[in-house]
Amino acid sequence: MKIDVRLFGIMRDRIPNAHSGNLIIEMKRGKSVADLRAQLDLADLVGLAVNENVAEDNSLVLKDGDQVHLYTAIGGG
Amino acid sequence: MPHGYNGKILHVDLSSRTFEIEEPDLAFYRKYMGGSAMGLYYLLKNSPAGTDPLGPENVLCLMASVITGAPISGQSRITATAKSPLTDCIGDSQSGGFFPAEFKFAGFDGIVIKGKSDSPVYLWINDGEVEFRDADHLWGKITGESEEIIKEELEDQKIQIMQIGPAGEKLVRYAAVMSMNNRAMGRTGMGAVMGSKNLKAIAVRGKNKPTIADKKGLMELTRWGTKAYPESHVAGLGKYGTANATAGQQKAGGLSTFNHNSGVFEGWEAIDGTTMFDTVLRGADEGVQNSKGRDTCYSCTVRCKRVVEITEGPHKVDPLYGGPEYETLATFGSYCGIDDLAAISKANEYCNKYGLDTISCGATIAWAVEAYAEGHLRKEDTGGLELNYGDAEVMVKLTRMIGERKGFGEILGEGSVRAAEKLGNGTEKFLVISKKQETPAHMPQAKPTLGIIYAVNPFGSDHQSSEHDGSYKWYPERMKQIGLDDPQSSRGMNEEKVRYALRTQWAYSALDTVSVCQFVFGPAWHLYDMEQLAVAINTITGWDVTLDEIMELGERRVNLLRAYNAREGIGREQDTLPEKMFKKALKGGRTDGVTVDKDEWQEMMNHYYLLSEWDLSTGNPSQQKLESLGIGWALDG
Repeated sequence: MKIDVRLFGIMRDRIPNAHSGNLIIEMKRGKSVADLRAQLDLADLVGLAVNENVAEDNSLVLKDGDQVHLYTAIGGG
Repeated sequence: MPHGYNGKILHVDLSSRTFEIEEPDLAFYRKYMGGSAMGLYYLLKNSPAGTDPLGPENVLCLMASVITGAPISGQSRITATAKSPLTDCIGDSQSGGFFPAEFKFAGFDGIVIKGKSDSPVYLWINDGEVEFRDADHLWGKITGESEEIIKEELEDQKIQIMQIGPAGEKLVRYAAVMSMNNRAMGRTGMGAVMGSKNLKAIAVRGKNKPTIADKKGLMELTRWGTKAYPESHVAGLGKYGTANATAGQQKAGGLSTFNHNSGVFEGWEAIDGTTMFDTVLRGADEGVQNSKGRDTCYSCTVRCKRVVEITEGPHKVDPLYGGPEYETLATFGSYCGIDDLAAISKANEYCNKYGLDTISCGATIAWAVEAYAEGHLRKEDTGGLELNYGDAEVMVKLTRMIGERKGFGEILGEGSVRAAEKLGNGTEKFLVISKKQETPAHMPQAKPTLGIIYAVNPFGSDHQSSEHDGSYKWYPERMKQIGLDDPQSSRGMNEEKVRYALRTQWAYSALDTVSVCQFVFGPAWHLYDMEQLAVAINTITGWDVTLDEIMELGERRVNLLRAYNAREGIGREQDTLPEKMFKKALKGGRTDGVTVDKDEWQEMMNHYYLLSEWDLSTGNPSQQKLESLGIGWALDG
């Protein structure tokens, strides 16, 4: 399946080949948010939302065509 | 000669156009260090209770710190302290840039300004020499024009200038004190205090940098910061600015939208830091915005300041006036339902030209828009303007009208509370304030500890007075440094989270006392941690400060601020949140249906006062508490 990943802020600089802010990630069916995090080598602190909803549960199974947003969450500002 | 600081405080009387130089002892500097702690010392001793904030008896203190101007990131900050014309409580606001360091090089650690000049004046401080110069020709000029004239007449382009724009002259109650035309002491109306004194500007130039006690030790810390920066949590903030926070705020349901009626905004991507970097930063069209579109403060490696340039379309933006921060993007953007980045950048430009706090300005406009949308304001009230969410043109127009105090901008320049009192007709229902200060774009419904801090903060709702909820679990090792060893979820409230709010409040208060940037030093995601702040202070001054002493410094400042308010008759009764946060459920996103639970909030407030060792009924520190912090004199003035 294909996961449509969009990256915001410094995530564009930290994931290889992601400067445009968009990535299509190929994954086998039944893979979860935890698998995506592992595939992209994401630190726990990286915010991840699936179809606009924050993925609080890393075991959430992804579906073909899901839109995933990666971002950093910093307080203040 | 001390290391790190000058040992000199300048006292200026504008009424008589005279000055004196005080040389406080080491014990004074060690106890107060700088910022509003030092400012409060002079304010409490030099202005009577019940002072008119816009009267000559109000005292305006500008204080750097014992480390300002040293060669390390994050130290070039200065604080203004006076009674606030917006809140009628203590006022407190900081800014960075190059002025604070240059001010130290000019020979002083702080200025205490009393009285009122009978005509516009500016101060010229040049290597320890002080001169009063007429400013009639500058009155009415926007910041960029005044800066150019002053540099020309003093024949030095390297002068740093702190000044007010026309908004400060016209006493807009949330007027800012500006430097570099784009750095603002925005909050609590310190620009109006300066305007009430007919003080247009302070120009500084100096060639004498304070000595450093342990140069090698400081260089090691500086080098560590430079090396750690690219992989640090602040690298995103440096490259994409504070607007880097927008995506996270949206996902958490905490992006203040439609005057705090929702925590999500459909047009959020248009006002995100990534979009800003790609489209409106200077040099973006040639792909060189990383070098041309980012600005910095003295000796700082982070370079988080935005420089926006727009040369085409209805909202051309001059890069001289910088670019919007996250707060500005949210208050003029999502708060008002606007996703037009060029229009928001234009509003930011007007705020910096006229000298306005972008948070209070945008939030006051959003309040008026909601009151109009709900039928409590009419065209007769607004001078014929129709106010609608999403109307970028009217928002930009109103911002300029507030800066000039013209038309409906005259009333809005009073701040939303006084405007609601004047306009009546139920418009107070739509206020989003604490202690009369408009609320920043971080929502207690998404970050519950802010519901405590917004209410208790002595100078009104403020998002930079504590660490936000998520960091307790995200940065456990750093939290242990400040005595927080029981990580909690970002959601919900309990007594441990109140302890987190209080201890991080003391930590942030210490940062403001040492006058350092809260993006560079801090207890969580910051480049340097709190232990490293102690190292910075000690290598610069030669002292032996511990982190416990730093935390007590922060607690001392909070208690001084609170003591000032107690003297003004302000206490627990004013420690409130906007009623709409308790009564009106948010719509949409992760915080859909959420309100602040008033009973639980009240219980947590009680716990906060207990932990602070403050009186439960008055919410103020006792004489015994003040004495334990070495400030037993505070309530006597």
